[in-house]
Amino acid sequence: MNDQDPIIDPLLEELLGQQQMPDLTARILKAHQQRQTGSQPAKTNGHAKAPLSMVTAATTSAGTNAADVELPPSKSSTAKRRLQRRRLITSIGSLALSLCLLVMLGGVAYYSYQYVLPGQGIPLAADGTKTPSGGARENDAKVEPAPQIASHTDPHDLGTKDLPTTPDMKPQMPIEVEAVDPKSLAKSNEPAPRFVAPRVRGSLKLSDRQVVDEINESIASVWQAENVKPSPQATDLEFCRRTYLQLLGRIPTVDEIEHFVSQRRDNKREWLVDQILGTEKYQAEFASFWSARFANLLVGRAGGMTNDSPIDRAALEGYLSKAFQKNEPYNQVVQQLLTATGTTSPGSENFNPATNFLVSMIDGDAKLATAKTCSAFLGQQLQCAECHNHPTTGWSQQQFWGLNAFFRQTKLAKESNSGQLAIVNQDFSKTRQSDSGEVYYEQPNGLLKVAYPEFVDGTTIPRSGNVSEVDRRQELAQLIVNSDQFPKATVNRMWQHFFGVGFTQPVDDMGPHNPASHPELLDRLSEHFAESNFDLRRLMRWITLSQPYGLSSRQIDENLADNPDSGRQLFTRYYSRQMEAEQLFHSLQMLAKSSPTEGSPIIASLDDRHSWLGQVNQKMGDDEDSETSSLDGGITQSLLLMNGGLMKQATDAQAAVLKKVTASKMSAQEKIDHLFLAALSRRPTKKESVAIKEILSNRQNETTALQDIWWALLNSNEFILDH
Amino acid sequence: MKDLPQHETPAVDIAQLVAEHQLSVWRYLRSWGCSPQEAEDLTQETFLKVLEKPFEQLTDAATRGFLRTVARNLLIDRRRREGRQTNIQAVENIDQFWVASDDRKPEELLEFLADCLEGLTERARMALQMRFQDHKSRSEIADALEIGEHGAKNLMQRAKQQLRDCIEFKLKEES
Repeated sequence: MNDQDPIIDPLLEELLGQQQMPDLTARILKAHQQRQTGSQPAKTNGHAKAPLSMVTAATTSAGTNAADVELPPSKSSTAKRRLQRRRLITSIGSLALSLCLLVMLGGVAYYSYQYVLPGQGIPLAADGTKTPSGGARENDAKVEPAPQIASHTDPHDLGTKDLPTTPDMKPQMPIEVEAVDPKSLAKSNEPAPRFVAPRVRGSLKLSDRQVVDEINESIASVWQAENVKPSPQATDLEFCRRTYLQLLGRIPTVDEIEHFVSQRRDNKREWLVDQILGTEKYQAEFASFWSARFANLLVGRAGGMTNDSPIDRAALEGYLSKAFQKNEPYNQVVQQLLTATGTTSPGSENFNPATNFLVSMIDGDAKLATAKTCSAFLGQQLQCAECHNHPTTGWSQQQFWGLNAFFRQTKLAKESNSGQLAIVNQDFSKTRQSDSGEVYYEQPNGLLKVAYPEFVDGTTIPRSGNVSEVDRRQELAQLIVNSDQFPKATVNRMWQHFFGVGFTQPVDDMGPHNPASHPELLDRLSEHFAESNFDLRRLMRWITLSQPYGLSSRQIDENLADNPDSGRQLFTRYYSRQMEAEQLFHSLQMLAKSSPTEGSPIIASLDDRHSWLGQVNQKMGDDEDSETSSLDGGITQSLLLMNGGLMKQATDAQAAVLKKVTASKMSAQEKIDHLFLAALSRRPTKKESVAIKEILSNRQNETTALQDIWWALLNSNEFILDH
Repeated sequence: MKDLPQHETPAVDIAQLVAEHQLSVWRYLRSWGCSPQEAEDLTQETFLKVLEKPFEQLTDAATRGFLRTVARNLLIDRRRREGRQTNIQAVENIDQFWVASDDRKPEELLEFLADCLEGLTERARMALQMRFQDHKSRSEIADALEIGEHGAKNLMQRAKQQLRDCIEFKLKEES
């Protein structure tokens, strides 16, 4: 049970439930005396310092004689020696017999390997039609009459076929990329039959208001159970700032703030969210921010940021941006990403930007692709199970390699015409005698096992490795978007984007070992999201209009228990946090550069963004594709913000905001107000105004004084805070 | 030929050793998921195993650490033989907790727990009493407190975490 505390539960049972331990002293003393008498002579032979592992082994043999069994009297030493000699002779005899048997079995196995089961030569692995041997650790191996599309060769019919080839058991080294004909990249006329039918889901009956009410009620019921109270509502200015940051990835401009504040309608927050999500003005900017955000999820922040990377990040972001602009259902986008074939960069008629998701993860037996797909779309971390059954999460190696088998028809190639990198589907089979493309893996105990395509929930598809018979990635993509876990993982991730904390921490480690903080809400919201045809914008709207999102970030005495850092997220307030790298970049960029025409979208060029973000994030180069970021509140971040090129641009006298203020005829107070609104989305306090006026009066050159104040504002902690 | 003396180190007062440490071994085994009866059996086995060989008592903490290691190995061995799998989360935390309590008399832990229970809210305390004293089901607790089952689960989970934090704090504070 996950809600049990291994220490507190027994202690409470002891204290409250009176489950106490009886005094064992007498019992132990008696048993000890009996053992002493029984084993005295053996002790004199002395195995004094046995390691603990041996101690336990010894316990096993001695276990049954423990307390109340009288031991037989000890034998004389001559009798013992005789007995030992007899045992020795018996053991030598049985050893010799076992060796003979082994040699015979080995001969039989070799014979069958060479002549009877051509091409399936590893006795421990399964052949194309049989389920593999369960092995020592697998207790629940089940025999499945798996559907087999491919026609199998009769193993005895050797006359007309090529001689068998041994499956390659060596770990595959990074392969040389083959050149392929562009025609082979073009989609085949006869796609493989589909085995997993798309799941039919009902359409959402609830209105957005009802869904938002449901979120509010669900969150409030936990507040009540936990006896905590929510913080007061955030001010309009705070709400405006955070909504621009979360939906567009930048702070609002002064005009936008003033326009929002001037609204006299009751539902002005709803109006603001709809302005950003629904009006043409923000579409390009919205799509640009979210494409970068999802590209981070798919290939990491550092993916495609260096020249030697196979990922064309600009192409991937361009593809995602279009998807966001058209508001394509998220399940379709994921299917496209998982099944993409074609070249990764423009310049070829087979160009398919969606291939950039998998392009860097296919090499090395697609292990990275397996782990990433699972964490990005199912919110589950399967990577540890590559080498061993996971001790706590329950993931087995079989599940990892079963999922991995879906990617084995996927190969990297170079298009011969354009010389561009491409992803292609190729038949995958280990032997010429069988179409079933099996994957071999080694258990920690050295046992070799075999896996066929099997989704994490145990669903299997036909085993054929021929693309014309089974397109494994198509099936995998369908299985993923059909699963209940897919909308859950997406909702959890989106919730984390808006609140800084998801229902689970981390968001991509969901499962019974890491229960969600609000499981019922997560389930319902996921259902609604799936029923809304995986409409990400609607999901964003529900979250941003919910009560917890609109709360102040200030903690009050009544919600001190709400502490996400210790795993208790109750959402009684908006969790303030540092801006993310993209948000910081877009905000500074916006402050540095005025838009060419008033009202046109504020979008930084991809190159600028990539070169700035590239210096912040780096790949660690490990087998989990981890990254490191220097935007962690450390010295590098401070130096980057104080002296970096972007900050220099934003605080330059010619920078958009500063120039507008210094060149205007505003009063000193109005200028200060404007700078505060532009940087911090609020007006200065009285104390701040007085202090700044004093600085201005002491300095002869007002422009340089304002420039210094502007620099200080942009380097303040408050500026980089999303609150 | 004379047998060598069995222990060359000073003889340990077995009765005292058992009396002093049996409860901590039993609790340790309980925290590894043993039922009270199984924990009793294994506590006995632990002492018998330890006493098989010369045993020198240095400090209480060292003795308890050694006893725990033996107990844990016996338990793992037993689970292997039974072919049972037990999932225990955050094993290091369990061990850390018991290491932190090594300098205490076993009875003190229950005193700490009783103190910490006083610090809980009325509802949380009531929920735990219903659960552990009256052996009520989660739905009965939820009904009594007029909250959902999920709420009751959360309430108890958090209360237990508070108790754990409180005891750990006391162990640290009063050492």
